[in-house]
Amino acid sequence: MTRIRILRAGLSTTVQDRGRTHLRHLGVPVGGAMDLLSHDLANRLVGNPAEAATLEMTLTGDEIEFVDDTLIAITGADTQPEMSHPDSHRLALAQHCPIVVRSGGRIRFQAARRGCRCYVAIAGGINVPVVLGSRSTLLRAALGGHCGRIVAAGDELVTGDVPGPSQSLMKALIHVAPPSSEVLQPHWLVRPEELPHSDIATLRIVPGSHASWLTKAEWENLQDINFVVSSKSDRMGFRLTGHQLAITHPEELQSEGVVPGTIQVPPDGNPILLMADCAPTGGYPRIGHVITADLGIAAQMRPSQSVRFVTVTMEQAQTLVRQQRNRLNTSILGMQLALGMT
Amino acid sequence: MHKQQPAMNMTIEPLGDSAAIVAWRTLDDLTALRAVQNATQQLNRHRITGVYEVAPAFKSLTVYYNPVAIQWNEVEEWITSVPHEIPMRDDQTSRLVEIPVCYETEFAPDLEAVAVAHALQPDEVIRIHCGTEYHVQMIGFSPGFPYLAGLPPQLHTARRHSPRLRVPVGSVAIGGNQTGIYSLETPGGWNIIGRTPVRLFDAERDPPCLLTAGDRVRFVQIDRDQFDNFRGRA
Repeated sequence: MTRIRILRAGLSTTVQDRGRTHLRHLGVPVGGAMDLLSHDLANRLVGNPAEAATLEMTLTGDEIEFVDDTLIAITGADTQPEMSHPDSHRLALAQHCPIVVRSGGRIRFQAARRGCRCYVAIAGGINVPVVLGSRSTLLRAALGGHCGRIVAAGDELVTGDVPGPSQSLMKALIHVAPPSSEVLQPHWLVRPEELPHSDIATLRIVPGSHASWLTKAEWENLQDINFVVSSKSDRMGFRLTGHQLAITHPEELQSEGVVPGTIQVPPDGNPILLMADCAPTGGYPRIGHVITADLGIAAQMRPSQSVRFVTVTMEQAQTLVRQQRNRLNTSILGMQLALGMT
Repeated sequence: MHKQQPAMNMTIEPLGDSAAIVAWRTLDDLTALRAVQNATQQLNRHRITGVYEVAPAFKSLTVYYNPVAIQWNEVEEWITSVPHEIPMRDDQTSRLVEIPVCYETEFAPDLEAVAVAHALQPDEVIRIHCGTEYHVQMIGFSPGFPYLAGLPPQLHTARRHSPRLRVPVGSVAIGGNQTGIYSLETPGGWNIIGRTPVRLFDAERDPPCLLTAGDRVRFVQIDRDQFDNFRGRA
C-alpha cells in the first residue's frame, strides 16, 4: 500500500476504472474512464491489471505528493507534468512510460496542452471502496470513487497491495537508473495512440438504425461537415454545434438502448455524442456510432474544437479495435524486453 | 407459463460495434413486455463468452458485448439461435409491489395542472392514479427509475414544456402515457403529482433497485404523517 496527497486540485479529477458493465438493466451507466485505452495503457505500464482504478484529470491537472516510493505512469492528455518539490530543480516528466517517484516527491500537472483527459496510474491501483462492482466515480449519482465526488485539495488516497509485476518493474527501473535520483524515468516511451489535433478530430463511425432518416445528400456528405464540440459537454456526452442535421421523423421513437459513442439527433438538429456516463437508454434517433477504437480520441476532444465523422463498415470497426488491443499488448511486451524482464 | 406462441416480428440490429438491439416494435405493450422478459431470460441462460449483459428496454432489449472477444456475426447468430417463444399472459407469476405515495400539494407541484388539463378534480386524479395496476416496462433514465405502463388514458399528459433542473428524489410523475418515479435527484420534464418515501435506488442495498422489469406496481395514497413516519423508520 502507498499513499498520495492531493495538494492542489484540478478542474475535475475523479477516480475511474473500467466501469460497471453489468448494471445497465437497472439504469446504471457503464461509466468508467472516458479514454479507456489511455487508462488501460497507464495501468499496464505500472504492472497493474487493466481493471485497476486510476485518476482521470480533465483539462487541468492536480498537484500530488507521493508519500512513499511509488511507481506511476501518466498517459492521455499532455498536462506538462513536472516534479515540483521545493528542494529540487524542476524536472519535466515524460508521459507514456513507467516512472519511479521517491518518497516525498511532488508532481505538478498543469493545463492540458493537447487532449482533454490525463490518466495517472499508480502501482497497486487506487483503493477506494467498490460500489456496485466498480471503483469508478459516477458524479450524477454521487456514488463510487472517492466519496462519490471530484477529488479535492487535502484528500489522501491509498493504493491497494502493490502487485508482483509492479515490484519487478520498479526493481528493473531502479537497476537501470542511478539510485540517488528523486525520480527514475527510462529513456524510451510507449508510443501513445494519436491524440486528436487541436484543430480537427476525425472519428470513424458505423451507421446507426436511423441513418436513413437523414437526407441521402447529407449522409453522403457527412464526412465534409465540420461539427464543433460545445462547452456544454461532459462525461455524459458532447453537444455538437456548427451544423444542424435536417432529420425527418417518420415515426415517434420509444427509448431504446444507447452506448458510449452513439450519435443522437434531437429535434433541434444539433447532434449529441454520448460518452461514458450516458444513460443506458435514449429516445432520439441514432444516426451512427463512433467505433470503439476511436472512443479514446473522442474522449480527448476539447470544447470548441472541430470534429468530422467518416463511415466504416462493422467488419472494419471490429478489426480496428482488435488491432488496437494487439498494439497495446505489443507495446507492453516491448517495455518488458527493454527492461530485461522477460 | 401455459401456452406459447411463436416469435413474431422480432428484429436484430447492431448498436454500434459493441452492442445489439433485439426489438418487437410492432407488438402491443404487454405482449412486447412478455417477449422482452422471455428473451432476456433465455439469452441470460444461454450466455456466451464475450457478452457482458442483456438489458430490457421498451419493446426491445440490448445485448452488450466485447468486440475484442467476439464478432458481430457470432453475436447475431447466437441471438437467433436462442428460443424466442412469447409466453401467454400470466400475471400471477410476476411480483406485485405496493408503493406508498403522498399526493399533498407540497410534494405535487403539477397535480393541479394535470387535473385542469383533463377537467378533473385533483382527488379524482389521485383516485385514478391509485386505482390501476401498472407494469414495470424497464428501468432506465437514471439508476432505479421505473417506466410504468398502464396509465389510464384520462391521465395521459404531455411533458412540461421546459424541464425542471432538479426534481426531488421520490417524485412520482406523469410523462405522456407513462408514469414513473424519480429514483435520484435529477433534471426532469415529467409532471410531478406526488412523492414516495420509499427509496427506489440504494447503492448500499442488494439488490440496489427496489423494482425490476416485469414487476407489477400499485400506488397507495398516504398522508403527510405517514410519509414522515415512513421516513423515520427507514
